[in-house]
Amino acid sequence: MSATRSRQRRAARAVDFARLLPAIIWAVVILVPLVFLVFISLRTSLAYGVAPLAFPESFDISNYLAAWNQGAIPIAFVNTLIITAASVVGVVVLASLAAYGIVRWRGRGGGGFYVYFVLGLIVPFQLGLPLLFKIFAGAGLTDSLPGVIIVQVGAGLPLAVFLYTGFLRSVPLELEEAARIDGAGDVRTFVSIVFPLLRPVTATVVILTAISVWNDLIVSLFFLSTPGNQTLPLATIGFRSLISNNQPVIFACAVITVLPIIVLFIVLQRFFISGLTQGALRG
Amino acid sequence: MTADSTIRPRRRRLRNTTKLLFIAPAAIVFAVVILLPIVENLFYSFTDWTGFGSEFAFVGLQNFARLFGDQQTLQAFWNTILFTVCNAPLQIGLGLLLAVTLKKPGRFISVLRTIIVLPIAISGVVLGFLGTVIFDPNSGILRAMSEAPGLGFLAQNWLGNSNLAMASVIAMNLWQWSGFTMLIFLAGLSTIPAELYEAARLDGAGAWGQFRNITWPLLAPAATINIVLTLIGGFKVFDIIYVLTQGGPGTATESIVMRVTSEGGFARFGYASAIDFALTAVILVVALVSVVLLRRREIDA
Repeated sequence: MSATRSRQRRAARAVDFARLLPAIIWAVVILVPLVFLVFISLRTSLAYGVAPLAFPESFDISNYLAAWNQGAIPIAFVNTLIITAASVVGVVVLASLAAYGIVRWRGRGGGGFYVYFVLGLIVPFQLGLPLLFKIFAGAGLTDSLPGVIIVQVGAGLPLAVFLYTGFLRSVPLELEEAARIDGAGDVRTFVSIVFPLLRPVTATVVILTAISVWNDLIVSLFFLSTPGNQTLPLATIGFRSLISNNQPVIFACAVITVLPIIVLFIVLQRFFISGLTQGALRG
Repeated sequence: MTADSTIRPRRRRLRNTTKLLFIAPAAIVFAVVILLPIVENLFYSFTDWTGFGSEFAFVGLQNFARLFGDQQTLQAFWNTILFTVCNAPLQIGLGLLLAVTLKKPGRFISVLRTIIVLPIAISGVVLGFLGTVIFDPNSGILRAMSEAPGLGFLAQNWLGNSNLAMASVIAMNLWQWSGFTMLIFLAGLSTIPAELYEAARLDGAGAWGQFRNITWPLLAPAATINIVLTLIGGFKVFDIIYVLTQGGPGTATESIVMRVTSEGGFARFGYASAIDFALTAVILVVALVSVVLLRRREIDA
């Protein structure tokens, strides 16, 4: 009796496993190159030259220390952190306010503003960068972190407004009205009632904005020139041309650049699906 | 809505001026960063401006006429369309398969989901390094795999062969973005009530019948977003090609955005703006047509 049941259970598990097989294969395809990137970053360039894809001979972090000490990496790390944090805050604040104004607009104006922002999803904004550089040069905003932050906020707004608007459309008015009857002003109503409701979408917007700003190459390539202002992708490229013969150290540098954003991603990802559901699919 | 607001005391709702103040900061930043350069681009597409200095003359539609006779630009348009048309169905098919497979929550499944979504956090620069790890004809993973019996065909110069380079770029793009497509489908799946499946099962519907009659029609909004995003993303492709092949070998994988960047760099800003404008127009038309067609399908479903 119990033998049949355990056999049945094993059979059920086998069916489950077979169903998961495509996803398991794809996960392996995704992991293998990443694992080798990390493996190579732990090996000496000599050992790498002999056998490029071998298991690390020892878990030696000297490549990481070399990357951190030699390159402009620490400064670039701080710069990238500042730019990313400021851009994320900027996008969250401006987009949530704007989406609130759009959704609660009576009459046609709201829809017009919505189309205005969502148009930004369509145009390839990178192509405007040369002209933007000219405009910013006049205002003294080139080769400065604030200049890059403004560009990144502008670039992040369309998707964020789209997601916030989609979510806010399903939020009933009653809560806000209750707050207003209690005497709260417009700004306080937004800060204490509306914004907390937006949390899942905010998590989604934070992840997506942080990823695109942290990883950006093209904006910093156009706008930042002095070494002290470099971002991580720029510094990585500069570092690579400096020691092009030492692949393991360059890969160690690459791991340093992706690790923080991957950690953020794993921490916030449980909000990701609910944020997308409530933002994108109700819009 | 209007009748509503006449009954309620006005101060309970936001006034339009307040709303305008809420919208204005975002609208201004957006106007300066995105809109102004586009309008300027459009303006310069009718000029012969080099991109330097302040002298230029109006040349009418000359830049657009030149576009249609420029073999390299036409090739870049063709490459971009090829990338988009081959990539979109693969990315959406794979994303859908993964979402349906990983629908049920569970610890192992959430680990799989996390792994599959992970690549969207990886920068273009690092993606280029991964391209070396995978495709390098001497030290890459595919080369190492080709030593196994029966897999000899994997020993190729993947990124350096003009017949294989585009396929390699598309494969790498799937590697990075299939997880994002999966997430949007998972979000869509989470809106479908479980009772529908139970009812279908009582009616004797199999797995395929449930997918055809419940999952697929109710997934329509998620499918719309995925299709539109994949098409727009395809036409704008730049980073992934730049880090893997720099558009080569020759011009075999040069995309339209890359073409604009290099023409701009060659001091032909007016012409670059014309290509840029043509691309924006194509994307706009594709996006509008697909939204209209897909929304109609959503309503039918």
